[in-house]
Parts: sequence; structure tokens; C-alpha cells
Amino acid sequence: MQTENYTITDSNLQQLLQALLSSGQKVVAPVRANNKVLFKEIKSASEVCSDHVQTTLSAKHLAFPRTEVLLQYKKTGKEVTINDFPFDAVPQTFLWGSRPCDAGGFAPLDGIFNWDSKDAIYNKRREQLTIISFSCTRHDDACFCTSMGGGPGNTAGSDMLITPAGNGTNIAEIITDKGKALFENYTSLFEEAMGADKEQYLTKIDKVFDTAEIKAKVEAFFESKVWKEQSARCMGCGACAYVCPACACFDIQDDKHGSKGSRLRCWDSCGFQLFTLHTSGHNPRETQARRWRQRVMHKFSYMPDRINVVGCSGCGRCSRACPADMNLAEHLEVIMKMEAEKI
Amino acid sequence: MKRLHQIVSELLASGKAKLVIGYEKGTGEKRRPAFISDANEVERLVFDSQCSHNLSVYLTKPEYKHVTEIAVFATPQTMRAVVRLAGENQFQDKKLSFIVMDQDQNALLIEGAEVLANHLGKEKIALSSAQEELLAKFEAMSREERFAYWKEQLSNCVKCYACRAACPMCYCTRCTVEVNQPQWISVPSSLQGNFEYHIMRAMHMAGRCVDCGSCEAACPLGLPLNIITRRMIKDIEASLGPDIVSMDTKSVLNTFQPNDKENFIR
Repeated sequence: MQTENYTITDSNLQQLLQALLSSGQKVVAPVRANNKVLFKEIKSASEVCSDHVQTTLSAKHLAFPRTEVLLQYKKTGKEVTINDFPFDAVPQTFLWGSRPCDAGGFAPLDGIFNWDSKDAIYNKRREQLTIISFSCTRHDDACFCTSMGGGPGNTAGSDMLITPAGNGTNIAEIITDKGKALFENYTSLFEEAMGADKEQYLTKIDKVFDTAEIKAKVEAFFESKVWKEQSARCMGCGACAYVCPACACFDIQDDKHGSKGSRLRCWDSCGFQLFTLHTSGHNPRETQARRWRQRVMHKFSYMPDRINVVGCSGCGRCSRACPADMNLAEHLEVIMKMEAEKI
Repeated sequence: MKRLHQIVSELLASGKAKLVIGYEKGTGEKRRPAFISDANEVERLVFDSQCSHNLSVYLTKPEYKHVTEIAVFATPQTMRAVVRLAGENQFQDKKLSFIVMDQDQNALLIEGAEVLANHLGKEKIALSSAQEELLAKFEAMSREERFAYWKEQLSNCVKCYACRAACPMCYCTRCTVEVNQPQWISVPSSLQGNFEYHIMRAMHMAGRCVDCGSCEAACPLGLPLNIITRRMIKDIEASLGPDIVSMDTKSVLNTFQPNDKENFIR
């Protein structure tokens, strides 16, 4: 659909959130806890944190939980009963207060979970999810959305985008049918568009590189020593992958309890030593340098090739979370500046 | 920094170090680990009060296990870890040098883990008053309150294992969490699985933790993991005397003495 523009006051925005909560809808929003801001289910509008740049974890768990039960089984004698995933139990969920890079992070996941087979569970959760994002009026050192084709006011992936315009007003963009459905339920809270350009209210993030250029560069430098240099300090944890909105690797586990159990899908990370270890004992990615290269290649070369989307929205979470201060934007910039003879 | 750069240059030139693990400037005001094997790059290195990573963690990583001659920038926390690791026979094939800062913030070269152990002295791991205060606050809670507290905290753990990766004492080539035949620890990040993992890690740290704070610093979710390890240090002190870091002190759970005062052990 064509994006529609409206205006909504701060107090009406609060009323909109309150109305969703009062009608018993599941609302997930940024909440401050432990000096970190995380997306959590809220019961009251006052729980929402709004003075943060970015949450520590992305919102991907709403479509791809860190652990989810795919099916349950029970053996009675020779009989096996399987309980399939309860599709009808997936609640309609409103993600409130996400950033454009959170919303943009769902595009790589959509691609991966619909690449060859269509993942019915993921798609059900996505179908039930309505995303109400807020444009960014400030950013930090780790942000690089503009270099990834996004931006502080990018509408891609959001169903509704709110841009704070000062003086108690906001620009509301209705982007999709889901956004439209929400709007139509609460039309009285919105006013006519004021015709202001939202750009003036957004933070400015310089575009440092281009995704097509990065793709060409990382492919050209596959054999370079740069991977080893950059990953020398990598300690091999999964923090970068687990905070990432676009990382979709998972591990299937069986949680067995005697004659019954569950089949689980759990987050996994290419940074782990065990990730590609073969049964034979051989590991094609034996060192952290090879795992780092895989991480970068996957996001910036393989995913654009296979699903036509870059596996990164430039949210910068990996750089903020890395205990060894591996800064993705900085490393990509180094690769961008490399010349052929320096391989 | 001049003296620091000179020491490093000499170590690399003489071949006493093939690799130097130090610090450099990172994102914003951060300092981060730096790896140098070329004397032309020594200017990158810094060593000041903002340097906090425990660099001894890299000495047992597969990437650096085969490098014999390594020089490491050592903070007091790093020194404690090195001495404990040496006590656990982790550096038998290594020729290590250490660069430490003396009281006047001058770089000082120390060659060998034994010499480092002497430099460190018989250091007792003691908690600061702020740490004691936090523990006291925690201990004032009822059992139910504490359980509720950990349920809330550990429900946020995503099992990225940054705490394990950053811990110098976690050097097993295959961690229990990765053994699946039999499956000791449940893999998924669920409340029960998270409890199992953190309890298991705590048990493996008893009497070995050097209180460097790396696990808590590494946690992207800011979980207060040091409450667990510090409480253990207090328990050890109460039951077995001061937790002294030296080459010849054995860890609490690795030691058996026939004359142990407890009857059940005999």
C-alpha cells in the first residue's frame, strides 16, 4: 500500500498504547532493567523506556525465540503420540518502540526462513506481529544503518513509524495493511498530516560504505590475512550473533524425559568452536579467523546472493556487545579501504 | 609509553617474544586487546588505568596454544590468573614474559611465570568494601527472595557463553555444556538450563576463581555473575582459610588430604 501520513500528539500516542494494553493485547516494548534496555512484554504504558539509543537484544525473538518447542512426543508402549506446534496459540503481538533497524532486521530473517522450505512456525509468528517503530533522534558510535541501506527514519519493515517532531507532536506513517488496521481501530487519535518533512527531526548518520561495494570487497579478500588480524582478539563467544537482529542460525535439540520429550529449536552461533565440528572430528572452520570470515561473508556476500538481502541492518548491537571490542563498522571500513596488493 | 614500547621492541627483536598480547585504543574511550608480532607496530600499544581485559585468557585458546614465546601485558588481575594457570600446569611448553606497571606507572618486564609469582607475592584474594557491602545486602535477603532474584536475572541469560569465553580459568578443550553423550547440561537457554549452566560454572570455579571480574564485564546482559564467585571466595575463606594465589596452592575441589578435619571425606 501507499504510505499514509498523519499527526499524533504525545498524549494520544500514550492513549494508543494504553488502549492496546486495555484491550488485552500482547505488547512488547523496550524496558529498562539491570542498566540494560530489553524488549519485554509490558502491562502498563509507564514501563516503556524511551531515552535509550538501542536495546541490548534485538526483537527477533518475537518471530524466532531463543528456545522454542517445535513439537512434543509421548511414547506409550509401541504407540507414539506427537503434538504438533500449537499454531492457534500464537498470540497477536504488538512490538512498540522498536527502531527502524529492528524492523529492517526482519527482512533477512524472512528471507532465511522462506528460502527453500517455508517455515510455518516462523511465518505464523511474523503474521501475528505488528511493528510500531520510532524514528531515531539520536545515535551512538556503533550505529551504521545508513551504510546498510537503512536510516534513522527508514520505513522498511515497520507497519507504522512514529517520528517525534517536538512540541508534543509526532509524524505517524501508516506503511502496511497491518499498520492500517491498527490505525482504523483508533482513527480518532490521529490528526491530519502537518506536511512537515520528517528528515529535519532525525539524527544524522554518515554513510561510510555501500553494501554492493562491501560484497565485492569481501569476496575479493577471501584469502586475505585481514580476517586473522581482525579476529585475533575474538574470544569465541556467541554475543554478536545472539544480539543480532539478522542472525538466524539454530540448533535442533531433543529434550528427553523418559518416554516423553520435546523437540526444540535453539539459537546457535557461528562463533562457537562446536558450530561446524563434524562427527569425524574434522572442523572446516577450525580457527576463530575462519569463523569471523564466515560471519562477515554470510551477511555481506552469501545472503545477498541467495535471498537478495544483506544480513545486517547496521544496528551496531554486535559492536556494543562484544567483550573484546570487535567493531563491525570499523572492520568493514578497513576492508573497504584495502587494496588488492595488500592481500 | 616510551619505556613500554622499548621493552616490547626488544622482546620482539631478541626473539624472546614471537607474539605480544597487549592493549590498544578501541572504540571511543575503550581499550582493547592488541596482538603484535612486528616491531614496527609497537606504537599501537598502550597500557594505562583503562586497560582492563584479562589477557591471560588468550594463552590457552587454540589459536595461541602453539605459540611458545609470548609476552603479555599483565594487570594485577591478569597476574593472579597467570599464577593460578601456571599452578595448574597450563604453561609447561611456554616461555612467557610479562609487562606490568609498577607503582609509579612505569613499565616493568618480568620473565617467566615463577618470577611473576614472586613479584605478586602470596596475594590473598580479598574483597573490596564495596563488594562486601553488595554481598551483605544480598545475604540479608531471605532464601525465597534470593531465588526470585536469580530467577529474574538468569531468565535474561541467552547462553552466549561470553562469561566462559572471557574467563581465563575456563580453558577446557571441550566444555561440559558441549558434551552431549551423555548430555550433562541442557543446551537450550531456558530458566532451568541457565541455572544448570551457571551452577556448573560456579562449581568449576570454586577455589580457582581469581576474582578478575572478566565474566561479569563480558556479559552483554549485565548479569551480576561476580556475586556468585565472590560469595564462593568468602565461603572458602570461612571454611579453609585465606584464598591465596600461588603456584603451589591447590584448588578447593581438587584437593584431598587424609588428615582432613571432616569425617565424611575419609
